[in-house]
Amino acid sequence: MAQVTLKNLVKKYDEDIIVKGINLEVRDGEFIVLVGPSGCGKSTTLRMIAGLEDINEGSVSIGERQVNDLQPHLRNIAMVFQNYALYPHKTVRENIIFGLKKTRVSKELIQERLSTIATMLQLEELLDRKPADLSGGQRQRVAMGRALVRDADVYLFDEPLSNLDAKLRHHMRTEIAKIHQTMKTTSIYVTHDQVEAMTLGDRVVVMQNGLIEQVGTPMEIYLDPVNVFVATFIGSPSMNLIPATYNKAEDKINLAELSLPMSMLPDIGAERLADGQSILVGIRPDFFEDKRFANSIENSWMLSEQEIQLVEPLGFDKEVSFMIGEQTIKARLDLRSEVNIGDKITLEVDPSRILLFDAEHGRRVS
Amino acid sequence: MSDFIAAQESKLGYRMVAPAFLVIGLLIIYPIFFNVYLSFFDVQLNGEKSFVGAQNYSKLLSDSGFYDSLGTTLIYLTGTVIGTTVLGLAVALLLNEDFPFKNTVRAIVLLPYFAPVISVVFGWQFIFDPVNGVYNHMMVEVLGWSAERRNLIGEPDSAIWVVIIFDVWKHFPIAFLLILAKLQSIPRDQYEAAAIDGYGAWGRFVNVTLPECRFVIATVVLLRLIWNLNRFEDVYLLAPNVETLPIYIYYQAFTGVIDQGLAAAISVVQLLFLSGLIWLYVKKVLKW
Amino acid sequence: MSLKRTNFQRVFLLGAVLLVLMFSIFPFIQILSTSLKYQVDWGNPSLIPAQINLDAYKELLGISTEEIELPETIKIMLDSPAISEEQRAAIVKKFKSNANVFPFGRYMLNTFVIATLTALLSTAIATFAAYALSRLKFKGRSAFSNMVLFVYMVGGVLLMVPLYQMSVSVGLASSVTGTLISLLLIYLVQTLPVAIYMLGNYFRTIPFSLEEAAMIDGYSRTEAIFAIIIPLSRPMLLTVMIYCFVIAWNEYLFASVFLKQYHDFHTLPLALQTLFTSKNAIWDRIMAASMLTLLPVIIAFTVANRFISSGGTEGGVKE
Repeated sequence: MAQVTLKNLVKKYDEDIIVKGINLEVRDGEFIVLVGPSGCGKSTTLRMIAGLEDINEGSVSIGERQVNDLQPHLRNIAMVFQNYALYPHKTVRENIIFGLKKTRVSKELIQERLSTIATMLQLEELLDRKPADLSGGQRQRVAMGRALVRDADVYLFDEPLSNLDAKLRHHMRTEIAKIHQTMKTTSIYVTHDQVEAMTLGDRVVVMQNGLIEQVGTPMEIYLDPVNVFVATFIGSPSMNLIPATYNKAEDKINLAELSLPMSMLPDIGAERLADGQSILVGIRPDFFEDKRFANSIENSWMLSEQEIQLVEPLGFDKEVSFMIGEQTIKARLDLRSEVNIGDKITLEVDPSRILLFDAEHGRRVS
Repeated sequence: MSDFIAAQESKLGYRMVAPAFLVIGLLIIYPIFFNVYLSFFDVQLNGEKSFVGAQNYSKLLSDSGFYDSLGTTLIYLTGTVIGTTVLGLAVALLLNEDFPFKNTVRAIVLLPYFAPVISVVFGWQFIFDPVNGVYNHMMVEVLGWSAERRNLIGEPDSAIWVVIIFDVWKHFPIAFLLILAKLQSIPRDQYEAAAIDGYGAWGRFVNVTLPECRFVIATVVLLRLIWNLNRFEDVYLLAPNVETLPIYIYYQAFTGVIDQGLAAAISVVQLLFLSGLIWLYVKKVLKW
Repeated sequence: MSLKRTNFQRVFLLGAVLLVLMFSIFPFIQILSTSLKYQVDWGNPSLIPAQINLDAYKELLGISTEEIELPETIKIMLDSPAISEEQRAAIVKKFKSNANVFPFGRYMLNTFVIATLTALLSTAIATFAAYALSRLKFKGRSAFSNMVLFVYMVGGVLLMVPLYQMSVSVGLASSVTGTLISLLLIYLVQTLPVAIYMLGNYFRTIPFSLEEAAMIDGYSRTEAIFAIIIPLSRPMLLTVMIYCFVIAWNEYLFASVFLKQYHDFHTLPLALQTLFTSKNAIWDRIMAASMLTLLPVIIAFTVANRFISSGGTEGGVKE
């Protein structure tokens, strides 16, 4: 087990700069998730840590040593590939212990590790089969088994669940979380799926265009996003961003026909705002409450008589849409609110859940 | 620091390629140049050389044997390339359909290609043998198309046709394989759309199959030209009196009045032709 | 095309298939048939021998059961107790061996040995070169790749004079071992380009992530090649070996140039060509010899066929 440190990591392909200077400290035993849209550089970063890509500038250190010039097989890492990369001519058993055989570990220990992993990943029945005879989910588990059976310093995961169907993905997510609970291995996990990021990570690293936007625990990222990109990337359905302007004279924010007094938002330094500044008001759909059933929060922001434009039932929850000005706003209500299109209901929001962003730069106003 | 992996890869690459590079460089590239060098000498079997300048070239330009062999080669190339391409196309079309025992048929069709020349050449000589062969029996006794038994292989004028048919028989499978691979990749919907548009089997062949196969047919033609320009065993062992260029070169170099310098000169001429064909191949075909 | 077939089309199709089959296979059947016929039967156009004659095969394979008539004088000499057992055996052997004019087995062995050596050596060198060309980046890679392609097309005939002169000047042409080495080298030259070409194409179809996985698993690049790529390429390696084998087996030009004077080391094409000059006497022997040289290739071909149709990289990587 070891910590991983990335310092000013840069990767270029000819003139294209894919990774523009990444700084990150992964703690020993931590499960950190790199998340971001396609092309943000997360996989490239992972591959640089693995040694499968050259580092143009900056450094990668595993434990105390810098590994820039170390070939992959000398870095003592394990990796789960997106397309599994199982050795087709070897059985499941041979696939799993292939890397382990390389280390000077006794035969008994190999057997022991093999059976532990096989039980953990439910692979006992499949040990003598070849990859061609396995389903996608089974192959994925073998790929994981191959990585986990080794005693590596760092475990790397390159979008391992992206090729599985939704149900299987959900199941495997839980399995991975359980395994990390037991094994407490330093893990770096790359995904474009923000649900995986939220559920699996001790900390989440949100990336865009080769740069880190924010690093924090899932809850920090969720409740305290540092800019519009992070705010909208995490959370489904995405956070509502309502265009508004700040009126200094009245010290309030105007959103179409509604207004939001700054007195409700004591934690935000209103003195930083300029008169007439364009603001985006960020409210997650989850934070709208149906007044009829809301826990009484003193001093909540009331949106009265909002006409419902659309109802999308999801079982226990439903997403309802209404308008503020030209903007469609989504709110998530539960079963108790029986609403239909055309109904007018009153929604309220806990002001501590309201975020303000500068419309021009996207940065959070705090 | 940045290109460390790339540098390792480079080193490994050079090491792995070294033996092959050595063999090819020493035993192919160098001899090609050495050949050009030798063509300016009068060279004996034991290695003695004397410089003769361009004499070998002027000799060959005035040698009727050389022109005869050029002519023979031309006829040979035309016959075999047309033959193998047409037959290859026909058989590919045939084997693109479904019928029982298709795989066995396919294996049998490939057999002539893989059979060693020496194993089949005598069989062919037997078939055309004036005394025992089935060909003469058919021609004279059965079909009555010929009044008397002829030794086709014995006479150079008729032998070349035997050689051509033999070559077609032996090498059409490779044309067939290349074309079949392409045929199988033509999406079925194109045929279905053509059928709906009113085209019958011939129409579909002309409007769907042929255009799709234009490229692979061009490849086959070019490759066959290149390979057959170099072909030795298939001709020499069947009918050594058919003097295509390679055979003519062989005779000059190792039999009769040994003149290796002349042989080298002819080789250079052939190399020029060949390079032209290869250039065509690389430009037109590999570009794709 | 699964558009409906009329009966006429179906008959036409089968007829055409039959025609092609007969065209391809007829010469082989002719060879087999004549090899089993007695001399009087040769002119008979029927492919079925009137009587099966196995003499040709027996003679070629050295299992002749004919009793050699020893001259009377020799017989008397043999009966004399003065000569030892060995001397007796040697004399008898001398007479017996004269009947065995064509040491077929020897030639087959020669050809087999040289073809196998060529196949093994060529495939080994080609594997490394092909891997480098298809997977590794280094300066001059495309130049070398193009050179391989060019050389693939140039072929052996254009090199007959210079290669011969080269071996003369190096002095290889004057000794048996030297000549054999020259021949092996030349066969390498004939087979290497096509082997590199075939293997290169194949390696390009193996997903690179397999080697990456092996490297993560603790194998260096070279180790990964031996542990993963080579086992995975077994069918292709076998195919290439067989291909090289057949090319060497077939070869006449250089064998005749280099081995002419060393009768004992003749390869089959050379031996058969020089010995069967008076064909009218021994068609059955020639045909039998043809069949026997055909056999190894057919066997190799069937084996290769079976190997090619098995799996490959299936299941290793998600497409």
